[in-house]
Amino acid sequence: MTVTIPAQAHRSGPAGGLRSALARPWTGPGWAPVRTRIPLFGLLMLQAALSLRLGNSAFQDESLYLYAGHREIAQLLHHTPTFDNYSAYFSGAPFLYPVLGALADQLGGLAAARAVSLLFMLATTGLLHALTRRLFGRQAALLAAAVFAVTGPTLFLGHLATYDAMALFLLALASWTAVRTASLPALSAALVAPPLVLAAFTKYAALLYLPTVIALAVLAAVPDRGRRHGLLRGTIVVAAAAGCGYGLLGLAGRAFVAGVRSTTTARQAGTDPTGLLVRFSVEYGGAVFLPAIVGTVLLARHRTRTGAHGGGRPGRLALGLLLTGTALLAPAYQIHLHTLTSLHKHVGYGLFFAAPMAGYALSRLLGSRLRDPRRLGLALAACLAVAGLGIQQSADLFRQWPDASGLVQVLRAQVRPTTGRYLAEESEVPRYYLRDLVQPYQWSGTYFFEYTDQQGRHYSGAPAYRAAIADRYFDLIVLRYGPTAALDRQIDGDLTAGRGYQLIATVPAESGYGTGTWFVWRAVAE
Amino acid sequence: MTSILDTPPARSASELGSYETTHPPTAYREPGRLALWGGRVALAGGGAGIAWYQPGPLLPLATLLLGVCLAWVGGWHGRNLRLIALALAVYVSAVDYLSWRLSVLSWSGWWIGLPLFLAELHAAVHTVGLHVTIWPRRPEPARLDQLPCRQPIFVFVPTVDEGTEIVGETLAGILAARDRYLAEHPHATITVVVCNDGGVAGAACSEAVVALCERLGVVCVTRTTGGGAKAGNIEHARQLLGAIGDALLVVFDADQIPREEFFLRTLAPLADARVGWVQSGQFYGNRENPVARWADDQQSLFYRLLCPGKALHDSAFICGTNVVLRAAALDEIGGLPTDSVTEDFAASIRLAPRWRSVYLPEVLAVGLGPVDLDSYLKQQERWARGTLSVLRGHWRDLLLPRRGGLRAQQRLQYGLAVTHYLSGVRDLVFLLAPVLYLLTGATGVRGATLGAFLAHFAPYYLLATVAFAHAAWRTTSWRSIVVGFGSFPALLRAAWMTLTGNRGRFTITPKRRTAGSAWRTARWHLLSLAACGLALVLAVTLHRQPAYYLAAFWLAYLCVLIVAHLSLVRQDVRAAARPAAALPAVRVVRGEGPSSRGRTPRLPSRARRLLPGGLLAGVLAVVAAATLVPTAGGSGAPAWLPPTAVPGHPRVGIGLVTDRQATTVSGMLGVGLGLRGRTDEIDAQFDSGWAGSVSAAGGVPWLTLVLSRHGQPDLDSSLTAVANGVDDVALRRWARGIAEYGKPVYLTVLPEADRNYAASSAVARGGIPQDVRPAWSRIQRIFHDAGARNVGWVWGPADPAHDQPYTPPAPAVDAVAVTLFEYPGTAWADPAAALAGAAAAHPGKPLLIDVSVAGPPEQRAAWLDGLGAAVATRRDVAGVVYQETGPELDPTSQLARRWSLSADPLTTEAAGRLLRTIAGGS
Repeated sequence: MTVTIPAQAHRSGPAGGLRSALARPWTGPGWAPVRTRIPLFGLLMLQAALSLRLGNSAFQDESLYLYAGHREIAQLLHHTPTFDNYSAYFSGAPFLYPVLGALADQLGGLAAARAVSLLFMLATTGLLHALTRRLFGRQAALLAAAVFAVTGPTLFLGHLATYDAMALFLLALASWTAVRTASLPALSAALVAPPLVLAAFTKYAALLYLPTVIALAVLAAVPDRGRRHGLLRGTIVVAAAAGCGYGLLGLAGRAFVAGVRSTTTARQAGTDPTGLLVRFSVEYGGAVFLPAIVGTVLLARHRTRTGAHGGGRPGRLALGLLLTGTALLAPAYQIHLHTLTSLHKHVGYGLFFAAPMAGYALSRLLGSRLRDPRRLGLALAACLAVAGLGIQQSADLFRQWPDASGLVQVLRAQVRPTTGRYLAEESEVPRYYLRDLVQPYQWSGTYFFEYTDQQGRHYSGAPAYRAAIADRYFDLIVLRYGPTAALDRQIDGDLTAGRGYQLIATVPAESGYGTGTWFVWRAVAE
Repeated sequence: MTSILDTPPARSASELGSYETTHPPTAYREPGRLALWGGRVALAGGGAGIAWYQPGPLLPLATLLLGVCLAWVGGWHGRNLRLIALALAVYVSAVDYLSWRLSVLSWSGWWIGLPLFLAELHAAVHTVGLHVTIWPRRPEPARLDQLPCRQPIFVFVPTVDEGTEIVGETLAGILAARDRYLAEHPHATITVVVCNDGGVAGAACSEAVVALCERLGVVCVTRTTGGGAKAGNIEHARQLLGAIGDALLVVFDADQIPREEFFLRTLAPLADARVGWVQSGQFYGNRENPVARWADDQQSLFYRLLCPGKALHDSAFICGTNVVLRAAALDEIGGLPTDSVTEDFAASIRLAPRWRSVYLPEVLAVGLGPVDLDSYLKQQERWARGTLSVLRGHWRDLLLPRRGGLRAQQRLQYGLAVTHYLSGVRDLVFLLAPVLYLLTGATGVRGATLGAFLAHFAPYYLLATVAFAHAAWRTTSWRSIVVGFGSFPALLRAAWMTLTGNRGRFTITPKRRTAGSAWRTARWHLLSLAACGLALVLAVTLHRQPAYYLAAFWLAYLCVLIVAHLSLVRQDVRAAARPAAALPAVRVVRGEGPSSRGRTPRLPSRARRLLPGGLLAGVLAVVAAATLVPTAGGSGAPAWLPPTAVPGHPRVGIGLVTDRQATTVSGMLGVGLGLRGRTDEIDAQFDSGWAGSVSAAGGVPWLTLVLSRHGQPDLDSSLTAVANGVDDVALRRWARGIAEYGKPVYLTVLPEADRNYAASSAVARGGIPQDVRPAWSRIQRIFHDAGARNVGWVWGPADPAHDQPYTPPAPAVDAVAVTLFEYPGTAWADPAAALAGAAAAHPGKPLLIDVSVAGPPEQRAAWLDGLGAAVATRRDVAGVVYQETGPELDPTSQLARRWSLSADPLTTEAAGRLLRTIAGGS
């Protein structure tokens, strides 16, 4: 049956409008924002798929933070002691991300906790798109989101249940707010402060990017409102951030200022060579950083639109340098400290700031030329190469630690609630997985141990381990000869000689660093 | 379907960023050599990279989504954007799949592996080729060099035996179209010529055609000497009438009726002096005929989708009818080629290097499709022979470099065209490979896992299917795929004739139904269906491996295709049985009239609207039923009471014997067996057949479940492992099996946990006595959750009189097993004392006695008599089971034999006495 609707009915009257809407539901004005963002949704799907494909058991940090979150929740709800002072050595506030991650973990396990990180990273990409669209338009926004979404650090952080994704999201939210409020009254800039301060509390390393966000709040306002207005906004952001920070410190106490010092601001220097740090920084961030440099040059040479202030060449140059230069902050600091620890994650923070410039560069270079199939193919091949690099890097990063599921399976068959005592290298991982069976005080790690024997002699360090092993203090001992290999070799004499302990399992522990083995010893009954 | 590339519109200020340019968007420019070669290198290099790394499903996904982004940035939207993204993803997934297929090609089975790979390669190349063809492109701007209306125009209508009725309609249409053109271009001259080959062919209607031409005032050229088939006929008339030089030639088949606007639309593009021919589509107006309808769907794919794309690649075909040719172009190549049965296509390849071609996708003429399957298959065979002969004759033009020859894109397009009809050979290979594999095990693949196959094939197949469905949306239907596949016998014949150099003869597609039955054309299909069906049955019944399931899946797909084709055969047979219908007064082509023309919908419109929802509800109902039925079975009330109550008389039984042995022993001892014992390891399955046979004989099975594997305990056998849930999966499986069995079962778990030799020991391998309770509780909870209420829980320690440190909570135990295995050369236990001790340690619990003795016959007989006496004095014994092979693990060994009741007559007699006494209660 065919129904003919008079043309007039389409143009006038509610009935006509209704019919029109029913006939082509995706063409109404309300759908326009959705339609224009369909490519972004596709990109987010890709980012999600590439992140979700990564698979491994919990990383040591994930285990530590999620476990801490569970203990914090238990303390909050049941006043159960945590048996640990997390704020003394965590690199973020223990009551923020760990609690959130643990809540997700309670709902759906590690997958749910990682899904929260993925949501943060997807939201970060979305905010990057929105931010870049306001600065450089839709094409640049999509291209910026594309290069950011498929880089190795982004994919990796999207599947890692640690502080980083949440901190980066909050930084992104603060940055977007800084740009979004640029055309609003100056006081609206105060909205930048809450997410900014929260980001710094979530992970102390985010402090590094506070100046960038504040400067962004200034520069985003320059083209339309002028420099003076921009500076006013910057002042408001600084004042609001100081207020928020002071308030939060007052609420949380100053106990974890020591944690900030030990893990971030006064972190112990390492011995990693500068060349290696530079190489890794280029590998993780080069694909975004290089086009960002080109974008900075193009932006500086660019003419502004008619009638607009445009910030002038200095303003544009400052914006380009600010965003691109921010990508160098984390590598520079880590080179200063000579440490590779978490470099891949911190580079990801910088990429968020460099990506708008990279998107701008690609937009200027490609633009309408992509209507030619050959150029489209060429650009796609380049994008796929970047994506391929990101896929490979994220997979490598996710293989940096061995899959502990086999070990956990062995330990699950052996542990005894409440009464057993267990020594494990990287004990955070089995402790997290076996938290339904084993209490925190039952675990000992290979970083620190004190022991008093039956004669009342007190030991610490390697002698403590040796004495405890001689006394068959531990029911199970797990060594991998990994991060604490030196100590392991000092304490395994009785174990390898079969005195008091029996080797009950060897579990393969393959990682990106090579093959290894977990050795599991069980105490033999006297 | 095509799109025009132009300068993207300038964006509004709201779309611009605060730091963004105000430069107008860059106008589109033709790519230079750098971009041209860069693109080609990227395509080839990308393909090589994919082939090397074989990245699997992620790359096609990334290509699809990044392709959407980039195409969107480039200004593409809607259908064109989707076409671009899907085409890129199909290309990437096809390269990925083919390279993986090559890597698992078995060279030892090359005779099947290589043809199968080549068949898949052919399919993949044509799949990708389709998307290359329809990729949105920018048409060349036309020039105005001359006025076609100033040039002499000749309209040729070749005919052989179509008859005056058909030719008359065509001529009427041509004259009407001429009148319309002359009305707008009064100075034009259009000469209509009927090229009559009826005389040469000996057709009865030849004279009538001449008379018809005289009546209508058109020229009729009747040949007296044949040769060159249709091309020869036209060429003869052309030379005779001097239609050369600046003339324009229009060709119509005798059944193609032009519409009034035909000349107006088709002559205009010839104003560009570079244009050599203008082709318009062929559409069937007799869609009331089932064969014509299906063939028209296939035609639509070509004329509505491919031809517009090919024209944008400057690779349009001359399709032999509804075409306008520039005589000068034909003169250059010596006229229409007469050495091919598809002279039109051969001419296209010769003309393409120098002349541009134009295709007009709208319906400008309507013809008749094949009226029966025989005609359709003959038509397909002729076209296949023609194009394959062009491949044979012109492969140098397509493959070898030549100055002034075909351009790269033309080589690709014509290459795709000339290899298309190899699909018959391809489909035969697709048919044979799975059948051979399932019947003989012959395979051309090695080292492929199911996971790898799915990782590479699934993205390719899904993307290719979705991309085709998207491209062909509202253009054609599933019938085009079926009828294309169904023509494989004709295409095979054509390929064979081309290979052997047999040129065959030019045959006109008959316009009237032939005499033979349509089923005659379906013999190969029926044979294929039988072979596929046989192999499918074998796959389902005999082979139970993933590789066979895949072959079976493919066979099922082929069966669906063949059955669908056979449905067309059936429709054709029915149509033949009906009286011949007159041709419709107005021919209606696809998309112009009601889609159900000639057919009545099988379902009322309301029902059709409800169909998707109904199907979804049906699927959900089936899924829900599949989910709920086992649950309902498991959670319902047990049909039998649990075997916790002490029976009036203790049950007696035999353990560790087969059903047959049990029957023999039962007969030998003269007693019915009310209890049968058996020990299983955790990885085994609950043997409901065995339990059923015990139950059928009036007995109760007594199962002892040991958590060892292959006779050895491992870490997962430990009590802590059980308590911590390590064995939950296996235990749940057992629980479900026993719950489904539904009748009473005695179950002993954690047997002899108080000994160090037990698999789940509370005194060895890290176990402590306190571990028993949580392990026992966990097992019971699992069985309870699975609804296994028919279990009687039997606690079986080695020493039930002294097992207090180990024993589970009393309410969790339904009965206690007393194991009395007496070894030769040892001090044997006093049965009465043992039973009394166990009863004292477990007050109120029924006892199940598990016995076996080996030793001197007199001692065995006396001990069994003593056991009988002890049982007779008690009221708490629920059953006695004699373990026929004792504790021996190998029941066939000599050592096991010494434990048997039948090892000596004295023991047999004593055992009979014992069991009869217990079972009889006296």
